[in-house]
Amino acid sequence: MISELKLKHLLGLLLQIGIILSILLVLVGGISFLLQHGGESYQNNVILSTNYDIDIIKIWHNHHFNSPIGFIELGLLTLVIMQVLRVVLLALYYILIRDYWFISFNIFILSIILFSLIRQ
Amino acid sequence: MTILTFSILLLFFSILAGLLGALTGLGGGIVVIPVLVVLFKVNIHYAMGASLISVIATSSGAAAAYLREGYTNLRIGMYLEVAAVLGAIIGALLISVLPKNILAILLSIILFLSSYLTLKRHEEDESYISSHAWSDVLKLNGTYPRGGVNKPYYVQHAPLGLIVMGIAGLLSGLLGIGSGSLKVLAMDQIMRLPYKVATTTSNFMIGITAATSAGIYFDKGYINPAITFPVMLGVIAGSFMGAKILHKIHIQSLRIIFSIVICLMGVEMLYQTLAGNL
Repeated sequence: MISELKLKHLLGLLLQIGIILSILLVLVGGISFLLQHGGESYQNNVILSTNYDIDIIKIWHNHHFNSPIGFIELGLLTLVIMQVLRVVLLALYYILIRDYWFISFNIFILSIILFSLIRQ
Repeated sequence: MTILTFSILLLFFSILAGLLGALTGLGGGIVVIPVLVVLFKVNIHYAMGASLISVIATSSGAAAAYLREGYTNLRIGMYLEVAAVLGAIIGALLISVLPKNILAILLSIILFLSSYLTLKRHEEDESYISSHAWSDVLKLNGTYPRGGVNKPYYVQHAPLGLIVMGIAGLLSGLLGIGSGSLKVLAMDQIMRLPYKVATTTSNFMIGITAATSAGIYFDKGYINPAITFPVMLGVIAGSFMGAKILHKIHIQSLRIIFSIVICLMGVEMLYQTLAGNL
């Protein structure tokens, strides 16, 4: 049986890995974006005029690793997915210790996050 | 101005915002929005999107460190998160029906309130020996390290805490902030948790609440990657530096000065909004 202390260590590790991965992706994407577009004037370009009508599924399907903006979006997505994994990990823990109140809480929280992330 | 210059300036001011957010205890998000709106004339929706992402990043980084210290109460966190995620999704959905100037006015008010709450709070020792009935059923009570021993604490007013947390979630989703001040208020002043337990548990929750709104933000196009990347990296770097210096400087007057600077930014945003410039 996994103790709460061990769970906290796992959660901390998950957060650490997620944040480092996210920063790396955003950094790589951001630097290549600046290398490609850095010299352009910002008012009439990519920054203020475009409406970024994106969603999680589109980020995954459309971009992947073929554009700097795609890299940044993947980094941001990593950050969000990490939060979902946190709740999943907690839910699994409460299932293991058969704490029904907290299983319900976690499932409720998870449904709301997933509704927000994948609703069309 | 070229995109490169713009991004570097954005990075620099986001570092500053993260630093001030950490030193005042307000958090980077609520500080960076007025900076983006007032100094860079960034669309408030994009400013909120960039702030929301920065909030997830900084709170996750801090939570990772806090989890090892033994103050974070996961059960209280997840119990309160039930209300926070509900508030967050409602808040995020409300953005598209509210005019931008209402958002700017509300943000200024929350900024002033948070500064007030953050400055006036002080640590007190709690002497409760029993807890609210819900807390017994849900096993919310815990212990925290104090003076070499694990001292127990007992949760009060569990339902009221839930309501305030719902409001904190709503504001987080509506304005793209972490709502840390209100979350701490709910746990520290209402549920009577030890201050350190309140702040670390609040930090643990902020990322999950913000991720809930982030889905809606992505979908509505409030998260602009080109603006978000320098802001996110800057706020993380600034908050990290702030947390490092915080242990060395304990001067209350400095915190007051910083809070006044931040509030002046809020006043400027309020003025420009009311003058119809935003």
